[in-house]
Amino acid sequence: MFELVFQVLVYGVIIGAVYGLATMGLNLIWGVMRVVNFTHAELLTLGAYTAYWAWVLIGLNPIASIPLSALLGFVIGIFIFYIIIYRLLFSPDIHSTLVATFALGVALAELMKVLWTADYRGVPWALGVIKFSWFSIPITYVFTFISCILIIIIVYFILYRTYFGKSIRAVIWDSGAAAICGVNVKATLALGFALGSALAFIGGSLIVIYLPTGINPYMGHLYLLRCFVIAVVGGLGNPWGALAGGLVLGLLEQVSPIVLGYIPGVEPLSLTPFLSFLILIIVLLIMPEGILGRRR
Amino acid sequence: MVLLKVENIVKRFGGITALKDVSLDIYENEILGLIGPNGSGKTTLVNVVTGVYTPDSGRIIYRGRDITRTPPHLRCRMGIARTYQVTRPFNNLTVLENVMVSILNGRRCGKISVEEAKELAENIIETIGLSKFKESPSKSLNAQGRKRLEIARALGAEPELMLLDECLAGLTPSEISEMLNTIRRIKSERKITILMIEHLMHAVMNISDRIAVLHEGVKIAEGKPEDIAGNIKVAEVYFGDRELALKFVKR
Amino acid sequence: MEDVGDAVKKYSGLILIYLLLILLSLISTAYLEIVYYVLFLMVISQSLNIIMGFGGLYNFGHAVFIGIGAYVFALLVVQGLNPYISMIAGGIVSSAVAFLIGIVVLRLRGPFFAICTLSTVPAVKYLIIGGKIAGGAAGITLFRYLGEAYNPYMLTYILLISSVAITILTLKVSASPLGYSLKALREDHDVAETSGVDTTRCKIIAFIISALFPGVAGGVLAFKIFWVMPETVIDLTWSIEAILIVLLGGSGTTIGPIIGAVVYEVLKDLLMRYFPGLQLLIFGLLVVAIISVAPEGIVGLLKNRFKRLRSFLI
Repeated sequence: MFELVFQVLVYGVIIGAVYGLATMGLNLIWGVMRVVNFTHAELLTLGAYTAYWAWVLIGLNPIASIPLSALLGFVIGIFIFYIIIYRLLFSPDIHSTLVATFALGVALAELMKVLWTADYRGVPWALGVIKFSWFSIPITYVFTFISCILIIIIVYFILYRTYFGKSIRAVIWDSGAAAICGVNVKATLALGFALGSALAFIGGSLIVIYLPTGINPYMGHLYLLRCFVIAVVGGLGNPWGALAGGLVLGLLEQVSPIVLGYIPGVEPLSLTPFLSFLILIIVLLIMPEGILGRRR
Repeated sequence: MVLLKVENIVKRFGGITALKDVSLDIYENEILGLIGPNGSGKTTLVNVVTGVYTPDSGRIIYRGRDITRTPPHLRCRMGIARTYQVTRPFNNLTVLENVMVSILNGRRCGKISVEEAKELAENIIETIGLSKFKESPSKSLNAQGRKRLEIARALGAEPELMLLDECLAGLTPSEISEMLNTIRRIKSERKITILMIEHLMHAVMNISDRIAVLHEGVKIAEGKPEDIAGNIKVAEVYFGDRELALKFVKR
Repeated sequence: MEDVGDAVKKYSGLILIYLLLILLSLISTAYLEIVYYVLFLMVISQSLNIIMGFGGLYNFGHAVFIGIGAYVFALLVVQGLNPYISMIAGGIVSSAVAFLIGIVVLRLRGPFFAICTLSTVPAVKYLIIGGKIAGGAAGITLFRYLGEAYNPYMLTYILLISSVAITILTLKVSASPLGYSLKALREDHDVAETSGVDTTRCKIIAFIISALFPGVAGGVLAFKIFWVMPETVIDLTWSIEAILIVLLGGSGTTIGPIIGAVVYEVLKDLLMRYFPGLQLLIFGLLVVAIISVAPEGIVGLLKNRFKRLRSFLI
């Protein structure tokens, strides 16, 4: 029993951390400019492909390809912001950005299909397994977790110790007041979006480690639901909320299949996402600001 | 007869108490002016009366019925209509359609056809002086037009009680006297009771039967306009200085 | 009262398009296919227009209704029920489900509503696969039950009738108190409430109406593809196509989604010939362009440029 609980906790936390990191961008972008970035899932997918091509072409393992993913994600984020998002931020219809990012997401998925076909690909990076008598975990998972922590610390540094980070937090809190204090809101929004995009890319690269063969243009669909659950449960406006939500979902995904396994005639692995959807609805109805969001 | 009774209303937003135990009676057929410095809670009070906000404690009683838990749309159908301080027309609808919405959903909700509503809307628009713009999209109206539309829309619901939130703000002096005349006319022709939030002292003193004064969520005075004018507490609240207030009141 | 001349003018645009579609469908089976797809998209877009165009609620999960209709159709046909009645049943169940989803989800505003509705699409798929409902991931095959009854003309005309029905419904709603209420709550939810609009009731009614014909269309789809499984009948692409078509044609107008569906399908066909595989990519970009440049869609553009066409573009 203890072994089971320990395993569930460890895997839950390790995988949850990556989920949280992968979703941080979504929370950040919402916090900064009140835009739900429906392109998020495809940015994740692009990050995954970055890891793949880095592996195939340069021989970089997914963790080593993080700086590359981050850079790519950042640049693409800036592009998307200036070409699409900025125009629509002040449109009278609040749905403009929703539809635009959704459409962009669909377009990107199709682009990936055209460029790289719908074949499933994988990064078979394995370093063996750490074994205890009652518990084993792949070494790559451990490295992933450590990288997550490092990246989270870096993000913390950026947000709390740099001017850029402070202006982001100022804009999250009150963009009007920030503008009066001399913050270049437009540039901050752009950088905020780019940072969110970079985080999505990084998350995608790391998720690859858990998906030995599952990279394909439509993998975003798998993470769509997950990311929204994480973002909302954790608290949309708060990047750390993503981590909280990620942990919740990570643990849920470990516990739920076991519990559901007792119900005859169901497939626990597919029913678990549906469970997370129910949680999403409940949270939206009762506590839309999430665990770490601002209380109204 | 008391049309609306506001009873011990408390409304908090996080750490701020916007309304602290406010009680107020509005009598049928009167014009009650509601004044007070910015942030004193006037609009919040209107929001509580119309049901946009639920009070933390206290009751709202309309014609003897406790409506504290009644949803906003039902309060409108009972006879309570309001205008908004910052005008909020249904932007992409025409002026005519704007007014038709409240006619179709107001007192006669479910009992009036679209054609009849259209006729009624045209009448109201005529009364309020917007006939020229009746087919124009409401977002194209100027400031005075929008203020008039707010009133026209409120009239569409055929209310017994109208809550006007700073309907004179941003108008020129001649527009103001036009609007005051319109309000007087509405009140006498349609027998509507009016609560008027206003900053323009001469206007509200002029038109109101009684006045209530709010300051930081507390009602500090209530009475006839001349009594309020001579009230030291009120003057102090506006001037911020007791000496100055005393000098003013002595005059 | 409008005179006969006005009435004829008003509806002639619609009648023209429908006649055109009927004629095209009779030319060849290839054209029949195209008309089928046009009508399929038309039906789901016109339905979405009720909740999105009039009510201002962007239901990203619209595709779910098609799936529900398809599954109900399949389950009933397998029991031996007449396929055409099964299609109608699919529509009714779809509306019932819309009611259940609606009372929960319609309280949410703007982005939260979008997130929630968008999430219903994968959620329903996971529910079916995970709960092993109606065959789970493998689905239900219908060859045995329907093989001989397949008639592409019949399917296309059912969609045509559905489209005409929803057109009439749209016109009726638009001129009714419900229509005024929906447009009001679209413009300003709170002000609509204080003007007497029961926003919750109106939203739910609109939502139910918007689910009816996609349910029927789901049954038609199932009949056409013979194999109902989560992957084939619950497709996020339809959500985006429907939203795109409503925006492209003119959100909130009656003829907008009709024009939008025709234009979209024509463009899609052309693109398939010259740039195969890139349709959705280009349309993704097209949506973005429309929102930025022509938010009122084709109908809006035509109304502004050609004032004489105004009476035709309802």
